[in-house]
Amino acid sequence: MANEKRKKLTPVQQEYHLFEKERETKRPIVRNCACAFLVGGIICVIGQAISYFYMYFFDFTEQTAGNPTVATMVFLSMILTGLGVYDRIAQFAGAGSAVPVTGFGNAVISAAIEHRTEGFVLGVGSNMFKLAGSVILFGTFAAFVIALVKTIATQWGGL
Amino acid sequence: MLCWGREGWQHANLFPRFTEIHKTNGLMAMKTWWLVVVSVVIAVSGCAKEETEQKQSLQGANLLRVHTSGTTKNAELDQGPAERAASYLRQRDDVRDVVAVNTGEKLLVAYQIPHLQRWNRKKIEKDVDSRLRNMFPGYDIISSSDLKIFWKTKELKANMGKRHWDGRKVNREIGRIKALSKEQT
Repeated sequence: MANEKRKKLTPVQQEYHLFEKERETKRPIVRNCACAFLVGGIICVIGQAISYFYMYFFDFTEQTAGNPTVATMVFLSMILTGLGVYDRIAQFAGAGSAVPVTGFGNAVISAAIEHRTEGFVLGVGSNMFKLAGSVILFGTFAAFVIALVKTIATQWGGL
Repeated sequence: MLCWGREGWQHANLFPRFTEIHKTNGLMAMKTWWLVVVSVVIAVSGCAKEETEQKQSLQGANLLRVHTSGTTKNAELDQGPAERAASYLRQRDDVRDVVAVNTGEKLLVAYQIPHLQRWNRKKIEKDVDSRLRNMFPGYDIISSSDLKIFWKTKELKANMGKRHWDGRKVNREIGRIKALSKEQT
């Protein structure tokens, strides 16, 4: 808790805060980071391998191989989520499995599975993008802002 | 709706409950795996474009750490400009490996940029292209640092040596590689 907020607390609340701080379970931050790094790295290696696969066997260049690679990775993570494998990976890896694009597939399918009992239209249809919707929204918005900055910089900034 | 069952005529269960479907776990697991296999096959088969791609693949070559002599010396076409372009690029620190092919009017140069120099990729590409244009003003220059273009150029170079392709055929292949390098989607 921030220091300014703590000053507003009553003495009893402050005492409780210290009491709680001593006893709360410590988060293994270093271990979590190591796991995330390892699993995130493995996911990236798989992505790179898929990218080379598309370049080697199909008519994709380094530049264009990105699109089918992303689609394949999302598709694989969706299947793994459906089979219940991705949840186990996520428990071990944390952000390592959520930050790569595979986390997007997981967010879509897990929400769909969760709301399946409410029916296809009002359950799956309306709740599927409950988690992933914000990714799409802020991703699109960030792309728009960056494109705007780039346009201004190149058109008028002389870059 | 009535249908003939184990106990004579009975009402057909058109919408079996979810739990009933999952009674046999083995069958379900098999179904799941079939679903996975079929989905992967459909997803991957959608990317097939041309039959010729399979034939021209570089089987067994170490594609990431290739070191080439740069040009075909035993080809029927004069590869002087390609050799000069390759030797110029090989002198540069920001280029790792080069392969070049030329015909009477076209010069195709593919090169690789060292991994950490990729930050300046666009800048290097622009610089290499403009220098090649100055060095060979009469040629239609196609230069690329793309790995796929590098593989394709290497393959073309090998075919020129082995199969003794004539200028027309090489021109056509260079045209194909050029179209591939311009591809955005």
